[in-house]
Amino acid sequence: MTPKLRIVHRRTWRTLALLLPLGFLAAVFNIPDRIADPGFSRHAFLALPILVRSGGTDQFPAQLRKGDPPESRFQVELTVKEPLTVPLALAYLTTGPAREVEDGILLGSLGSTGTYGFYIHLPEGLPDTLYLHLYNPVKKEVFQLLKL
Amino acid sequence: MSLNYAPVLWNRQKKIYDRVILGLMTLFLLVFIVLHIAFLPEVTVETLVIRSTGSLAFLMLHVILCIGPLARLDARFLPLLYNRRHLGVSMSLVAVVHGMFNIVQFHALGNVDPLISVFASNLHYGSAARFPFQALGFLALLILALMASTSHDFWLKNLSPKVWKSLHMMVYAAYALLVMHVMLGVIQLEKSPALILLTGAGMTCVLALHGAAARMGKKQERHEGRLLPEGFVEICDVSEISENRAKTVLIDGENIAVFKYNGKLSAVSNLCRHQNGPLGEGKIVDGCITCPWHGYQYLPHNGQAPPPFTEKLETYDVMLSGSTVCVNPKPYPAGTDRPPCRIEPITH
Repeated sequence: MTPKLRIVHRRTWRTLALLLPLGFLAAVFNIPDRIADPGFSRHAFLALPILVRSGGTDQFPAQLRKGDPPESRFQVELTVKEPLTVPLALAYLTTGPAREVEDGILLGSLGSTGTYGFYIHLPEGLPDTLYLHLYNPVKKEVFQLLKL
Repeated sequence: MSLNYAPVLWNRQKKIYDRVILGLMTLFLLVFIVLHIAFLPEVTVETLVIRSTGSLAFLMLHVILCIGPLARLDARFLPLLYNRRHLGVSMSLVAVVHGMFNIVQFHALGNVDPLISVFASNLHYGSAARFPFQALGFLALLILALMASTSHDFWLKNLSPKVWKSLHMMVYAAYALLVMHVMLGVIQLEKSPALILLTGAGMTCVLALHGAAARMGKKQERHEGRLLPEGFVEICDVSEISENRAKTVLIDGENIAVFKYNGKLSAVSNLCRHQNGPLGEGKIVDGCITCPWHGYQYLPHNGQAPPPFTEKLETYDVMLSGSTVCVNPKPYPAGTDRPPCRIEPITH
């Protein structure tokens, strides 16, 4: 190593020896208490005991459940078996296939693979068929329509 | 030693080195994947590739950065230095895989160009927990990819050693970017004490080794020999120099290596013409000074590389004052023949 190179190396490493530990400690002390994105945790929910009917597809099996009286809520159970290929997915519920998603009930967002449970109220009673629209708000299109 | 772009000149040492690298990389990936599947069975293939390649590349960078100071502190680590560039290129390839999978997984399939999305999707530069750490990783990847693509001697010659070396010293900037990429990225999300400790330990190891090597280098540079008439400076006793080895000194900015061989002493520049390797840490093989880094050779009495090679070193006058070796730090032009100083046997 030439003397000039040695001087440059020394200055570089003195700078790194000062800045790197500072950056390291700043990052450690700023770790949030709550993780914003739980990552791989299972989507835990309590499935209601009575299975009303099943539907969906092989990739997105869906079930409609209800609880024992006096529980009046229904529950839509949706399983995402394979990773989604859209950056964001929302689940909407409508009573007809041609209805616009905005006229339906927004159930929630879908993320990684797993089983999702959404409680719903049906004050007008249970229709013969419910439709689950899996909607991509980025491209503004329904990428999957499930019958339930 | 060639101006033309030639593929890697494989020899037995390089083949062994590369096989060991490949074997260890494969082993790391296998162990990482098996453990991940065992403890996190829901993890997707894409995430597994991202995590395994990212961890491997980060670990390899630490190893690469430690080789230099380790080789200065202990000559037993010199074999690791010889083909360090192979390790660097391998690490860059792993890092490119990590980067590409990240960009496709998190920034493709949207309505924004993926490369623009890397920098534009998250603008929380004021937050540590939500800092756009992927941008740091991308910048580091650019540096590493540039270094890997210019690691051949062809580029060293054509870019000029000064430009090439400046480019390759950017590895330090890449390292700083990657430490912060990890600290502001996965550490913020996973919050694992083990990950924090491992990253801290790696960083401390790299900094400590460089500090130790710098202190050792500074100690070796301080030469306070007595000044003699005609500009000669006392170096050491002749018995302090082992046969076929050298004593190195820095006098008036001149980095000099004094070699002892066949009852003679010769002094040449300590800096190899290839990549400024420390010739004084090498030895004389088949009558030639041999650089410990890449095996470049020079004749000790005139500093010239043996034909057909054309590299040349500056030479210096050396003499004995009793049993004390003295050298004149005023260099002769590179390749100048200077008669070696004969070491007279002591007769009683």
